[in-house]
Amino acid sequence: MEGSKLNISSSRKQRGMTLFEILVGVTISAIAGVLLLLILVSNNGLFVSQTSKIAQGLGLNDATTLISDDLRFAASIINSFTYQGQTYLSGATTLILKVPSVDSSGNIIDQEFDTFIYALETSNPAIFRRLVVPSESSSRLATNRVVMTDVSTISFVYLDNSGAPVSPTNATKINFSLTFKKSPFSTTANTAAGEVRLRNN
Amino acid sequence: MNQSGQIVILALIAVAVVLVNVLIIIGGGLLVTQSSTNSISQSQAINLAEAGIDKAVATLNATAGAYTGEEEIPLGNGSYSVTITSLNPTTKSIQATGYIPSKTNPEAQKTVKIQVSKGMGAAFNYGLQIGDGGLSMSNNAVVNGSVYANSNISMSNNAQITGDAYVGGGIQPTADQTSDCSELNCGDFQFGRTAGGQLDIAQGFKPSETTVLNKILLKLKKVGTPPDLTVRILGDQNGTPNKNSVLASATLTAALTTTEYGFVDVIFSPAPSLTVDTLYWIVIDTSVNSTNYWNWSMDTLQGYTRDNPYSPRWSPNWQASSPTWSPIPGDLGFQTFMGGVTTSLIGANNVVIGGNAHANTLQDLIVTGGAYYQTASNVTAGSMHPNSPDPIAQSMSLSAANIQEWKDTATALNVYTGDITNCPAALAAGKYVGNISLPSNCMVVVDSPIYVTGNLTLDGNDVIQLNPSYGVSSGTFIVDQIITFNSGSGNKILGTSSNGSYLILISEFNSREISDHKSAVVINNNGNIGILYSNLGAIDVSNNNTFTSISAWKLNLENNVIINYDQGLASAFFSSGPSGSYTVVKGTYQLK
Repeated sequence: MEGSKLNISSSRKQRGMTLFEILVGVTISAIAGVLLLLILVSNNGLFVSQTSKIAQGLGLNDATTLISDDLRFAASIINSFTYQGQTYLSGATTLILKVPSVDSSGNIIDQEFDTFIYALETSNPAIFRRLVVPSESSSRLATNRVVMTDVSTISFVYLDNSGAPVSPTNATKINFSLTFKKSPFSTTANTAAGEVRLRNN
Repeated sequence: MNQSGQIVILALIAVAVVLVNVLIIIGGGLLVTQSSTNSISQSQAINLAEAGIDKAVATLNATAGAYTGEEEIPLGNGSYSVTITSLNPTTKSIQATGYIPSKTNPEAQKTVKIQVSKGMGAAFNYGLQIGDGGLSMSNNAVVNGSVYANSNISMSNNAQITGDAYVGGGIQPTADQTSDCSELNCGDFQFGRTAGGQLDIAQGFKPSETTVLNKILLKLKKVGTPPDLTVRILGDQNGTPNKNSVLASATLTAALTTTEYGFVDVIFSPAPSLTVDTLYWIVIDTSVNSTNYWNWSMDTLQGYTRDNPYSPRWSPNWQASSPTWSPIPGDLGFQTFMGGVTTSLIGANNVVIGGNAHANTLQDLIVTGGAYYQTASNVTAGSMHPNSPDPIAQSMSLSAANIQEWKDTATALNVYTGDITNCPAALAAGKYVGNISLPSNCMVVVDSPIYVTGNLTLDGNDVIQLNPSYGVSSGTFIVDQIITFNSGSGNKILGTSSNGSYLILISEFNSREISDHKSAVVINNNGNIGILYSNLGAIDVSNNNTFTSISAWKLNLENNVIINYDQGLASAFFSSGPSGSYTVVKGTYQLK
């Protein structure tokens, strides 16, 4: 009988948590949770800013390579060009190139020229586009592609051989710079620049 | 005690998220680095390819076109290779590829392709350019372009010049002073080759009258491709050029000289006024270049005596504080032409100059722009500018030396003997000893240059066209004697179908030495087109013809002749010509 009493007494020794223990546990959980949350939030901020920089960096590399190659191949700058109802004028933010046409074998077609237009989108100036308007006998296709998004500024400066600024149609080399908008988590804007001489001028 | 919690799990999840983000960021960073490195390598590869192009052009010129390319040349952190392909006797295609780091294992590779041609450029800046013989325009003749004449212009009723009209201050027709050698007495005086040596050369002369000196001719030839020369007229100081008395300065265009001797124009603006029997010095100033320099023709017998007792001299620097002048053992080849001849632009009823009119004397004109003159009579103009200086005379676009070198090139290529009276489908470049008379309705495709020692006659509706393989280059068809386009349907002288390509028809017949100034080129009625050039000859163009440009010693345009000047002539490029050097053909650059 005494053993049973002992058994009954043992099972009755499980106790609940005191209020103090609960408060301590909740406090520790809260502190740990907040710290984890802070880590996650800042990490995500870093992730967004860095991936933004990565995307902008890749975009700038592609854009400068594209513009540089087109400028090298260009014969001259066109002052104005109307395409699909819109008139483009060469200036600080728009570049219109006269580029020798090529046949299906990639050879230059004598005295035939395509038109390349670099311009900001009218409805959304943060988008920078490249339009290709081929001549009748050119093997190039008409294209309209986005070169950059989130554009902050575009600048084309038209120069002669001595580096003096001239009107677009008299230019023999072009100095350009492209700048992205600063992302919310970034302190600086990404910029790329270059200067290329028209080789077919 | 056995209670389990979730904080570790939460912590593990958070750490995993952070870890993934960091890995993505690192990966992206590596991607940007790789992309940037690739962009830089691509740029370097382009630069290497362009270096290969530059080397190829220089080596082609150094080896007279024998260079065929090379497999791989290391340069910097990469290498380049060059391939040369001949497209025709004077044009080559160069393809150069740049590699980073090497051709065998390239991480970046770019190819540049371009054409080079052995030729020269010439500028035909006017619809009409006339020499000392003057211009006559009959009723309703029209020039759609500008006109420059070194002598009088006479325009009949309703004749028009839509651009500017210039009449250069009259040059006297014969040389005032001349020095030249005869075959056995000819020598070379070399200058511009050695530093501290013969860089500045002076030839003395005394004019036979007091008036302005409009132009001089210098008998020079070049070695390599030296730059333009500065030519000055200096006063005398005790038998040497006086550096403090520079009376005039002008540029001698190197492109008008060749590797053979020829007299080349130097025109002074403003023209210096010289005094009779006073000693003056022609001084050439050049820089030193061991591979590109000059030779001045020298008369070893010293036949020119009006500079006595002072022979020609050379100096390492004419502008030194105390320049030293050393004697030259001969007289150098030159001619002087004095000016002072009053020239005029005279119109008639309803004669219009669409641009500006420049002449010593203007008469009976309607000038839309400005009238620039010393004397004017019955002139209506947008603005009047009295007391304007006379325009200077202009050199013709092609020198005698240029034309001679084309002839020599043709002779070296092929020589054909015998008259041609049938209709050949093609004429190869070369010298044709005899006459060419094409029957009506004949179409001939020609290479360049063509040199005919006799006459050229086109019967009617004939077409002579430059071979399409010349692309945007121009060509020349030179005739020693008289060119005649007979009456009937129009004859056509055409370049290739490419814009900027022209076929220049040149007559070397010397009308000036014939008492009645018999014409070098006779174009009869109706429908003829082309470009005509005759340095020494008179050209007669009859009714109802349309030409692109005409340059002649003397020109007569009959009724209703139209000249439609083509702007492309301002930069015509001749596929085979006097300069002998390969230059890049504009518009052929490709990047792959």
